[in-house]
Amino acid sequence: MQIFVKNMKLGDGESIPKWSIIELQGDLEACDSDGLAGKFIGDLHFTKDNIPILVIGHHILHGKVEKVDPPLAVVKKLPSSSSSGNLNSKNEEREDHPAYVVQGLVTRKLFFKGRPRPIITNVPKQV
Amino acid sequence: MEEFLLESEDNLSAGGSDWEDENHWKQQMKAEYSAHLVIRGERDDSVVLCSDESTCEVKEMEASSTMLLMQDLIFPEDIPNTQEPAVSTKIVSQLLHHIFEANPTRPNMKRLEDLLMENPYRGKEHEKTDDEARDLGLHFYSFQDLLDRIQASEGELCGALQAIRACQINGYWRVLDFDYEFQVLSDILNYIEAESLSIDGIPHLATLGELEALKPREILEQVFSWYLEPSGLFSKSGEELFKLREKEVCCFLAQVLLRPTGIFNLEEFLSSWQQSVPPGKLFLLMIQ
Repeated sequence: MQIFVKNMKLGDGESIPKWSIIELQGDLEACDSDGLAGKFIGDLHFTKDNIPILVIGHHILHGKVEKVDPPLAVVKKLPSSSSSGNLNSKNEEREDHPAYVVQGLVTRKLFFKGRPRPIITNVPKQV
Repeated sequence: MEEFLLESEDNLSAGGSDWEDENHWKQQMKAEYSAHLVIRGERDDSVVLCSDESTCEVKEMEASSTMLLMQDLIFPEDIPNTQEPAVSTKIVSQLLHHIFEANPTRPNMKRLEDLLMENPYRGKEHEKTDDEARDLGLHFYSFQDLLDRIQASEGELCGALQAIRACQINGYWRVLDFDYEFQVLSDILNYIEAESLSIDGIPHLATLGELEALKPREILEQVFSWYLEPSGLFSKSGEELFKLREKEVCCFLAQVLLRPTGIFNLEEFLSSWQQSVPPGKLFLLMIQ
């Protein structure tokens, strides 16, 4: 069988969209059991030295801008029924195969290598 | 300084799901990013991604980190210096824990040989009609049929078909049965001897024209091209003349001798071999 990985349709002068990645050590968890969908994650800042800083919950992470080389392709799966026809041997029945479309290329990422540090805002005074 | 609030998208999946089900996945492109990419193979094969000319094996790499995939993320170099502090919201499309790596590899052509050896061409008399073939469970393969089964790019498949000496007959790719190939070569060699043609003066079209009565033209063309090459000379009428490819002819005839018996006394073999090659030519038989 042949499963085609196609380019998305681009207009004149359009180039393939640039996607990005933020890479974190560890996992993101939601406070409640609802899952992550639709929820606010955190704040991303850049210092004047262009260092990215990520604040998630009560954690702070420092990272850096990195190139992704070779680039990563973001590929989306289309449902079987909408895929364009594949040529099969006439002895076989036509099978519906999925097709994939390249949505974009990732050439840059923000990489947060260090462990998140908790932000302590209230240090009680020594009595 | 620019600040971004990140939010997650409504259809966020938390990674770890079967790659078949993920809406987005990422593929590391070590091969040149080309316009046409195809995943080829049978259902149980490992994943192979092909461009027009090259083949990559695809491996899933589990990452120890979490990757937030998003469009529209702004990097420091994108922010103009003069911009006032601002806040914008960016959406994370997906949380990913694995990527797919595509590493260039040499395609495995064993399946091509197996498929074509199912039904070598033995001559018109032995050919079945499509109905008969179907009843007998025989399969014939067009180029697209082969692409459906062989894990290789089109360019590499063409090269492999040439290398194994496949011929296209009635739209299907076939290999010649060994004995049949010997018959065709013998017809050509006998004709050369009968007409007393000079060693580098074999006319292409005239030879094929004479032998057409015995064997199909397309087969003759193929076998002619395997065992003869242009000699650089031309006939009086301007037709290009050919000569025998010594090495190919001798190797084939050696196989003809060795195939039936398997074991051959070296001296007897050498003398039989010498006798079987066309007479009147100086063939250099090199024995290692």
